Amino acid sequence: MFEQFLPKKFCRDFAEIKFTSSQLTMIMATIKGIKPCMDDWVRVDRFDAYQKICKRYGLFVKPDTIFKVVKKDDLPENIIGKQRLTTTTAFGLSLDNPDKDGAVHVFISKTKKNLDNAFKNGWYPLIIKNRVIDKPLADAFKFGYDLGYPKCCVAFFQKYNNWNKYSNLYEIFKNTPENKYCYLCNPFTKDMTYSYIYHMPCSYNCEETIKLTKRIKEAIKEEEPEFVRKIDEHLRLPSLVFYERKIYAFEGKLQNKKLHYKEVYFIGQMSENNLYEADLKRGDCIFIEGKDVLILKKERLIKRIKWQAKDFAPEAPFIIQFN
Amino acid sequence: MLLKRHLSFSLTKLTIAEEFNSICGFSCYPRKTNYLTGYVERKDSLFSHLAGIYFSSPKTFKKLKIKIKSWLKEEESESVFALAGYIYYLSNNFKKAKYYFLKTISLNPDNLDNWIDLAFALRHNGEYGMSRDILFNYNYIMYYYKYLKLAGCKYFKLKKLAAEIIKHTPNDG
Repeated sequence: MFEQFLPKKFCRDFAEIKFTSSQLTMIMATIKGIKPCMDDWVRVDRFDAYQKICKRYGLFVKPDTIFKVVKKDDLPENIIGKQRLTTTTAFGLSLDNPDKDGAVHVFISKTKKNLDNAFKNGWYPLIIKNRVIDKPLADAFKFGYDLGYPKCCVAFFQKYNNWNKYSNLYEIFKNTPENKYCYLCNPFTKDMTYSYIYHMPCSYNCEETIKLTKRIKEAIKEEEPEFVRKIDEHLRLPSLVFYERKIYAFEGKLQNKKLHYKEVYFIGQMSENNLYEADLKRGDCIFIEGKDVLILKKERLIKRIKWQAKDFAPEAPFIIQFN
Repeated sequence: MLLKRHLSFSLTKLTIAEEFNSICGFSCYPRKTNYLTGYVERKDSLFSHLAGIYFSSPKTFKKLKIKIKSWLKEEESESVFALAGYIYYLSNNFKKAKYYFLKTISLNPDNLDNWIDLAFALRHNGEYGMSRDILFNYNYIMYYYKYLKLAGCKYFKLKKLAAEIIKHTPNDG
C-alpha cells in the first residue's frame, strides 16, 4: 500500500517528471476543469519540462518562488517565527536565484483568470533572511475558494485551523455523526497519492465534498480506472489520527471501537513525527481509553501511548473507519 | 432635548480608538513597531482580526468601511493609515490599500509590518516584481529607504531603490 502510482497514460508524464505521483489526482481534476486551480512543486531543473507538459494538457502555468525544504529540527535557532510553521518548512528564494537545488512553487489552471486569482492569494509561508514571511490571513481564507474548496469547508477551516488551539481533524470528527464517515471525505491520504481531495472537509460526510469528489472520481475513472480502484482501497483503510502530521493507516477492521490490524503505515508526512510505528507494528489491536492509545498483542497490553498536553499542534487521538 | 445634546456631546468626545472598539469589541491602538532587531514575526494582529470580522460579520465590516473615511479626515497617523490599508485590502481595493500602506511607511519606515503589508497589496495589484523585491530584500530596502531619506517620496523612487538593491546585493534569498 501507499506505493507510488504510475498511470498507464493520462498524466503519466507528470508523475515521471516529478518523480512522484503525489497530487496526481489534483492535476487530473484541474485538467478536467473540475478544479479551478492548484499549486504544485517541481524541481528547478525539471521546471521547463513541466511547463511543456502543462501546455500539452492545455494548462496555464505561473511560477512563484523557489522552496528549499529543510527539516524543522535542522533550522537554526534564530529563525523568527519557525515554531509557527506547520506543514512545510522551507527557505524561500526568488525565481531568478541561480541556485538550482530547490523546488519551484507553481500554479496551474485551465483559465488565466483562475490562475491569476489563486496566484495572488497563494503565497506560502517561507523563511526569508532570518524570519518567516507569511501572507495576510485574509489571503489564506480566500485561497480556499480559488482552489475550488466547498464554502462550508472553507468556513470551517477558518474557524478551526488554529494550531494553537485545535486539532482540526478532530474537530471535523466531532462535527460528523457517528459511523457516517464517507470515504470520499477522507483527507488523511492527501499527501500520499491516493486521495480525491486536498482540502479539509467540514465533516467526514460533507455533502458538498462528496459531490466534488464524485465528479473527480468519475473523471479519473474514464481515463485511469485502475487508479480509481486503488484510491478507493486506500481511502477505506481505518486510521489512527493524533493530528494533521501524525496519522497511521492500517490494514484491518474496526469492531466495537477496537481496531484489529495486520499492517500499519505512517502517513503523517514528517518522518520526525513517526514516533509509534515500531510499537504499532509489534501489536495487532489498538483502542482509545480516555485520550490514551493502547496497543495490544494477542489481547495483552504492550504499550500505552499517554496523551500529552501541547501548546502547539494539540493532539486529540481518534480511530476512524470510513464506509 | 437634553438627552439628545448629551448623546451628541458624548459621541463627539469619542476618540477613533473608542469608536473602533465600540464597533469591533477590541482595540486597534497602539500600533506597535516591528523592528528588524526584534524577535517576532509580526507585531500587529489587527489585520488578522479584521479578516475574521470580514468573513464572520459583514455588517460590522461595512460599518468600518463607512467610518474609515471620517477617521482619515480626523487623524493622519500610522495607526489610522494602517487600518485604512487593511479595510481597503479586505474590500479588494488594492490600489487604495497600497496608497495607505505607503503612507504608513513614510511615517514609520522602521516597521517591518508596514513593508510586508505593502508587498502583499502590490502582489494583488499585479506588481509582482516590486512585491517580490520587498519580500526578498526587506532588510536592505528598509535600511536604504531611511538612509536616503525617502520618506514621502514618489512611488517611482521607491521602485528605483528596489531595482538598485536587486542589482547590487547578493542573491541569497
